[in-house]
Amino acid sequence: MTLDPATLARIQFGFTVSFHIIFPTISIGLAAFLAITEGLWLKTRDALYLEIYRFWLGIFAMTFGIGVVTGIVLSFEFGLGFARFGQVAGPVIGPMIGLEVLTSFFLEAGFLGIMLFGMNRVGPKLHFAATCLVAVGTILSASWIMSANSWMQTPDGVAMEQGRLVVTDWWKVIVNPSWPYRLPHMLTAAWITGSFAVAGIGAWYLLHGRHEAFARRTVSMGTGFAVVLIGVQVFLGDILYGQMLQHQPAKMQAAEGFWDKQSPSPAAYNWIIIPDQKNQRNLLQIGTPWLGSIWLTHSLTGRVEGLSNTPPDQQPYMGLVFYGFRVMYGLAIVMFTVGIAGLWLRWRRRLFTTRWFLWVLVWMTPSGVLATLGGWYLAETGRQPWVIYGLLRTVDAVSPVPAGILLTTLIAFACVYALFLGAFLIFAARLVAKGPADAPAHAEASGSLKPALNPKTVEKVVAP
Amino acid sequence: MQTLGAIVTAMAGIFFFFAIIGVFGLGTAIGALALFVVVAVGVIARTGRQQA
Repeated sequence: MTLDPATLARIQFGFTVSFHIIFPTISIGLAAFLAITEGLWLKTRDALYLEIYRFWLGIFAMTFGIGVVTGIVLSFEFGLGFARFGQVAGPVIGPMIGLEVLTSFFLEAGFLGIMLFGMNRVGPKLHFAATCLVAVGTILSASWIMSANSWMQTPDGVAMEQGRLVVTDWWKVIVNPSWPYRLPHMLTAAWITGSFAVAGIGAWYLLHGRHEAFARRTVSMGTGFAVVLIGVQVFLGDILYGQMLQHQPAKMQAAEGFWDKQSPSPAAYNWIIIPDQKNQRNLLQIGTPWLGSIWLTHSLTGRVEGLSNTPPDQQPYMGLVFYGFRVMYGLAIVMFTVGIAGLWLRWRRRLFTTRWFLWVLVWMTPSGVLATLGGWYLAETGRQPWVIYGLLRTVDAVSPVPAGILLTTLIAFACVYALFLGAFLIFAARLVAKGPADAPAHAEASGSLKPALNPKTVEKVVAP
Repeated sequence: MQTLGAIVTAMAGIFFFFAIIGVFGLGTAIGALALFVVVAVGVIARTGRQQA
């Protein structure tokens, strides 16, 4: 069997970026939640808010750390797997990554120490300022990365000179056509992720009859933020959909699962398809009649454009794009439903006692992460076969590296990341099992992972 | 009465979803989103203090 370097490079980058995005998504969401919680503590002096802050600070610290480490790896992977992309687009992407470091990383690095270790060392207002600045840092970081990625989706402000892209207008590069729509969509996704994570852990405590005051407050805050944010997200998602239909029609044609140039009228909304890319048809499609016209064209009889409108050599793989979108959109519908049910139960004064709803919240704990992953698969697989849409094909961006090297490093990444994920899940589970009452006043620094993984060390760290 | 209330809430939820997603136009979507946020915040503000 011959291994294709281009395929291996894509699998490797897809794997590492999929793993990475989990952690910034959670940390952006939790940073905002921590800033709000500490602000409420300062305003009300209610000790419960401080308890919530201290509990979630530990989990935030872990997600932040893994997010930074796995993010740095991605920069090196540009060189390892996509050196030609660096040669062509380095003058555009390089400064944006550099500006992310100069603005957000420096800001976060400056104040993260105060946030994690300074609770009893600086005044409460300065500590609150540090928390807010770290939260702002996470938003700035997301802004730069979304700007760079959005430029790859909708490139602007550049010219090709001697095989390299040269910036002609930095403003057009940074504020490219899709960035103003994709950034709020991504930030809202992260905040929703944090909201459902907080609500899910609180619901787990309520179901097990533990830490009731803490659990009620976190379920209330989590579901409250979630219901407002998911409403906003549905709106932002539809606006973004319209924009991408204009800028990347092939992506949205693939996302809806139709092949013919025009769908039947009225169009069904496809939920399940088995696409046959070679013969440009579906082997199976199951959908809801009329709903495609209503949702996608906002009329009862509108037709939806199919992927045959795009030449086959410029088409993305429909299956990946379609199911990425369905995971994101399907979970958004579930989140919206849970939000409405939560409002209804809150109105009936049964939010904290309805066990089936609390179990739903527990199962919804990772829903934000899964929806975000679905959205990113839609965005990235839908851009194919281009790495920079319309300018550079992915196959032309790959490094001239033997397949064996890419396979070896892919296996190495899988092993190291399994260790990261295992450590994160073990420590997070231990923090949750210990509960908020045992949360330390501030995070404890350890110089090495080995003693930190020792259960005795954890016992010592969380001891009151 | 509870069942009726649950049905009305479900219908309102479906209406809000369809309206916010733009089925009835951008203007209606913005209005529905604003109303949705006001209703949600209103319910949370009214009940939150007593419960949490």
